[in-house]
Amino acid sequence: MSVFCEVPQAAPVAVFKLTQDFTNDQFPQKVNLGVGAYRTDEGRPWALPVVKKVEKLIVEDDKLNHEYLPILGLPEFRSSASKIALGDDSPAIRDNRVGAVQCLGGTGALKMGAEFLRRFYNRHNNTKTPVYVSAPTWENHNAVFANAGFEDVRPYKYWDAEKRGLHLTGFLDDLETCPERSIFVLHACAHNPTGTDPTQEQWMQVAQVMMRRKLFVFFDSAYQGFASGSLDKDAWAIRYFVSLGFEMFCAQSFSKNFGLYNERVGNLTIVARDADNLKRILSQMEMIVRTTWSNPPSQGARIVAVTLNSPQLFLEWKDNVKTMADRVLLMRSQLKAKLQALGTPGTWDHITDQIGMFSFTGLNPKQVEYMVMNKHIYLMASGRINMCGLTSRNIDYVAQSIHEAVTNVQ
Amino acid sequence: MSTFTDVPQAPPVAVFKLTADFKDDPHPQKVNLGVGAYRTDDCLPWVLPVVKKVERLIVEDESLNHEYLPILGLPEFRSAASKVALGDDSPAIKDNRVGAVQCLGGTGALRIGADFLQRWYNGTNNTSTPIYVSAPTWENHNGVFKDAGFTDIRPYHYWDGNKRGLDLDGLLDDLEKAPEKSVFVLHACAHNPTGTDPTQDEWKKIAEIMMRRNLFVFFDSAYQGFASGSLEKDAWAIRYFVSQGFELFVAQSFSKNFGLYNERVGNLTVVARDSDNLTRTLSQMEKIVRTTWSNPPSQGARIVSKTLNCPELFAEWQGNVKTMADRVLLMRDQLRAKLLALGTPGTWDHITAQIGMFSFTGLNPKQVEYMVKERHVYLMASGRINMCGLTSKNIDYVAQSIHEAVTKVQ
Repeated sequence: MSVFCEVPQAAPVAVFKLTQDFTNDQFPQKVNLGVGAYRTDEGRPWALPVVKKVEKLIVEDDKLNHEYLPILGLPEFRSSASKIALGDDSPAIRDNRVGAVQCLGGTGALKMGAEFLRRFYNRHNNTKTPVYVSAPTWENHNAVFANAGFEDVRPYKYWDAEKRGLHLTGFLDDLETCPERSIFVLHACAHNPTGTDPTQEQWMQVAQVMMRRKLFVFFDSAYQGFASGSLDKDAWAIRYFVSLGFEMFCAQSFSKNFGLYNERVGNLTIVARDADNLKRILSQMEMIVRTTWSNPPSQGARIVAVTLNSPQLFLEWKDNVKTMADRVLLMRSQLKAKLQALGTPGTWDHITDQIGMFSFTGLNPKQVEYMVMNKHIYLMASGRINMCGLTSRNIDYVAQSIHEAVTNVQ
Repeated sequence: MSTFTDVPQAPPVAVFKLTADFKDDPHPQKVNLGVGAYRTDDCLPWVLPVVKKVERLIVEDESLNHEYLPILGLPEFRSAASKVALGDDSPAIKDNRVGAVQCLGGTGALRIGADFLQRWYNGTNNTSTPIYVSAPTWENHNGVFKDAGFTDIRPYHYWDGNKRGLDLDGLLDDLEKAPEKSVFVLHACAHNPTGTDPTQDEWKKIAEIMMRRNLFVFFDSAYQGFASGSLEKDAWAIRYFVSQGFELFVAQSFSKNFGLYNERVGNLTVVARDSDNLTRTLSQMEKIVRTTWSNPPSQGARIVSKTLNCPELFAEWQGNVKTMADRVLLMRDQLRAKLLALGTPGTWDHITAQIGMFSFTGLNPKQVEYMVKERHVYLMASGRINMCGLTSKNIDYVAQSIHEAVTKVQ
């Protein structure tokens, strides 16, 4: 008899199950449009040249050792990472009211922020504060906040399936009618999974309501630089909110824009009213970090810190990022063109309107099933595709398959 | 007005505050006997030669990339790490009932294990299951289990301050009286902070009671190899319990024995009744990992995995570990000899009887204060010293200081 005999089998994480099924598939023309990682035109992972260069520098630097990092992480990583989000000349940084916690990827940053908010936001240990996540959103948002203890994780209107765009009125309405002090998880850019971001005007409207109704701003920024190719452009929303005077959290991931997925490089940037509040917040963050991972891993943070803090390497990195962003834009362009050339029913403008790694194709579950089962093209049940999975070699096959799915399956 | 006005300042983690005070101290003869990290005889951190070698191999290996690891971690790391704890020829491994979760150091392994037990052990979401930690224990044990949701964390008798050794009767008594199904956190070897381990016979007595009373075994193994210099010897207790048929967890850390403190290399080894129970347990571990750090960092695990899986590198590593263990043993020897030569009152056998990085000197809080303030020798208020902080250059000064503290301060 086992002490674990009552433990039920957990369902696999959908996106990894998809990749597993893809890996097991023998079909020669199979395509993986599932998990969100960049691929070259050869369909392969890409170690950024600047990363390879810096890894060599690190291994050759005899001054470095493996002593524990501070609990909050590598200082030069934290400050340069926050600067990336907020801008070098950020007044909030100058005011000494911006701090950061080096975390385990974007997930770790969300987790730390969530754990802190549950303990200290809206009175102490208030597990009932509503947490709003977009409908739809990255599948892990819900669970991160739920496991941090929040009992009330709710959707806010975001995707309008009919017009295939932002459901602005629904979104603003949810902001107006939610309980004061609710927490809102906002995608800074390149919304996952829809690829649909608010325009600057729309962000201004969102911000106005949030300020007036005292809602907490929690940005998730996993694609800065990767979305448009420009770091500053992709950080516009974050910087705008800071300029309005919001206190807020920003969970940053360097998995995608540095291609450092498996080194778990993340940063929770905190913008507080002043240095005193910031100090107390960071002291409590230390307590939470200490009982979760004690102190963060060094390798990835070092690579990013060395890169961001060297003008030459920084330029090289921006260029590598643009390479990735440009390839994605090219695939978007070409997919739309091919669908139009095929005369595939429907409009396909959303493919080039949407931004970042993902596109919400609009394919319904039956059509998705057709794609997977009949065409061996693996995409999420929601119709989300990873544009990075497209290459010059497979794009015709994919376009043709989408065409068939839309025309044969209703 | 800040959203965070009511956030109180958290106290600093004692051991890091000690190091911070040490750093700020200008005294030329200052000595840091606080935080638990290995130091060479020049009082410098030591990057193990085998680690530097493997880091070069990794950076030159073009076949490696930075794609996400599986949620449970690098497979070859997990299996090699579990083998180190359980033995290559472990029958439990042969029975396919041993699994593992790559975690963020020992802390991460404890946390994931604790999170799992809170959800699935002794009923579901049973936060009342008593968790027993030794008196005294590593200061973070309490915090980890508390933040995992357990409401009843209790001490079990362990250190006998009078006889300066194990309070076996007290320990066995606590085992007999604990509510059935209580969880006991056991230090596999090199008890932190006392350096006092049960003998094999004492472990047998502990195991007998734990089996009879259905208590859950949760080993914390942070010093394997580092304690005696022998991996097998240091894993005796773990292997004995496995041989008795216990289902158990082992939180392994490779921070000390690989000197990889800041890469956060840990492994939660899970020994279950059979592979079916193991499968379900691991599936639930995945869910917990997913909302904490998503998937673990690669660098440290790769270094350890390459080393453990290559006979030549493995032998080199064992040599490096022995180097560290031997220096600690030498310092123990010499400190005791010097105190005896000085005629310092009291018995000092415990310094060589104790094992691992730490020694519970027996100095009381006033004497500790004297050491810190008057002699600039930094140690924990409990009287715990890190033997690694001793060198041939400072050992006379430290011995003299202890002599003064004991003779002048009561």
